[in-house]
Amino acid sequence: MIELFNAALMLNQSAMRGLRESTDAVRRGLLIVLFVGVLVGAVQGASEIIASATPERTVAGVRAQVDAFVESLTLGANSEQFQPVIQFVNENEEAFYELLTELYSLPTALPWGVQLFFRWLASVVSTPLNYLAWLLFTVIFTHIAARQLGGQGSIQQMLGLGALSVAPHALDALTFIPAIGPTLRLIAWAWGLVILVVATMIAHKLDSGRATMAVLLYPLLFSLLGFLAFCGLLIFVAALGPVA
Amino acid sequence: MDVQPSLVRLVVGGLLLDPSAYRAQRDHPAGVRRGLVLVLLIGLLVGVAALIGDLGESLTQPDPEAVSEVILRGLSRMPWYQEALEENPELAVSLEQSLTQPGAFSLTPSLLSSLVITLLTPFFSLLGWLISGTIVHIAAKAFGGAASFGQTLAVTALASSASLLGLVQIVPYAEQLPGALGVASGLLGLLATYVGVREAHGLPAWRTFWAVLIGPLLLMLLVVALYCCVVFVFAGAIGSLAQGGI
Repeated sequence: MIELFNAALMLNQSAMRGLRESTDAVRRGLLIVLFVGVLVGAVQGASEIIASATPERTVAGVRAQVDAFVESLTLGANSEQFQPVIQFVNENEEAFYELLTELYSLPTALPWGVQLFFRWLASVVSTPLNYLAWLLFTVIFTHIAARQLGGQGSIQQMLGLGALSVAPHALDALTFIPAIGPTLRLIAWAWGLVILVVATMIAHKLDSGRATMAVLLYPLLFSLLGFLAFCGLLIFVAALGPVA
Repeated sequence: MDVQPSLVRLVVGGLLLDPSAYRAQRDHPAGVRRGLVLVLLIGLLVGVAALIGDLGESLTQPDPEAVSEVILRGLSRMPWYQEALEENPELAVSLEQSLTQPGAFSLTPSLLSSLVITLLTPFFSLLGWLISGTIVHIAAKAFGGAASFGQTLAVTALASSASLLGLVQIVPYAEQLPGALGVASGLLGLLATYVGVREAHGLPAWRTFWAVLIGPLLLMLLVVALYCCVVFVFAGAIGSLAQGGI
């Protein structure tokens, strides 16, 4: 599996062709999804647990978010307009943090540590499902477009090969690092997109142009429809005129 | 004793979209009976997993009454609440009533409701299988499919093995991103049904696609139509009330 994982990251086309001809392409592809999901879930879950190890730390996390929100309102262009909101938060926040601390300190049948362990385990088992849901959605629409464009691959081949596009998302495990997290996420997404194009090319024996079109066709179509719906909504609101 | 391993292999094959597993299920003389056992067993397993998960969650959550008390006490310390109370003295009573309602601060379903859901899950799975299997069979036949009703039911039962993803609910708090489990098992179930119908009826890819999708599309249309009817009725009621001079 590690060989296939590396081959996916290196866009190794001969390994991908081997996977296409394999009778257990789906199993091997989904093992990559499971591996990446468990890895990312374990690291992200651990990071979240460290941040909420005690009631005080959890409340400190909430306080940091509220402070950032208030700061963004204060520094924003419409800060005067939001003055009542800022004043409301400033007047009530300390009592709110006391309430939160009391809530998180309430006794439970099992110790707080057990809940933290359950939450970590939940992150480990549910992150692969998040990747799987997204993968299935992507693969189904890419497969439909590829078949419309003359592709010959089966859904099993497309799913097995398409699953390789999840491999770069192992980088998501590092997205808890504040400064580089979003950049790593973007790199993983772009890298995954390139792997999906190559996977579609190999699964359906298409040229690179058609494979790219197969991957992008439905996302672009949905974006266009969304944009048109948004414009329609704007026109409708404008036609209604000012409320007062 | 030979039945169990073969059933497990069959389910794994169904989950991994293995065409040979669907062919084996199609050609099995007791395919429908085996399918019935599969659907009930998977439904029961998923229901029990969810029950265990709910039990774990309830053991790591504080007592809902204590939560209500802390919230009431905390609110009374907040300046905005004091001001609101001066303006409307009845606020305290109504707030206390709403906060002390049974289950108001229970973050997990009660064990009784979890138990009822566990017992009902296999029957809902069975009902879903029979309805979707019938719709898929009618559609596949309309597109020129060759399989019998029993064969369609047998392969669609195997496709329900996608519901096994729900076993993750055995871990408390497992569904962190709401809907991911539903989307994953729903889409995998659709793909599995596609593979099953294709193997059973021997239809070309596009005809199989439409045969499988026609049921969910009709359901979606029905939901949208019902939603529009409800909106229409409510809008009419509000309009007539407004004309009545309220």
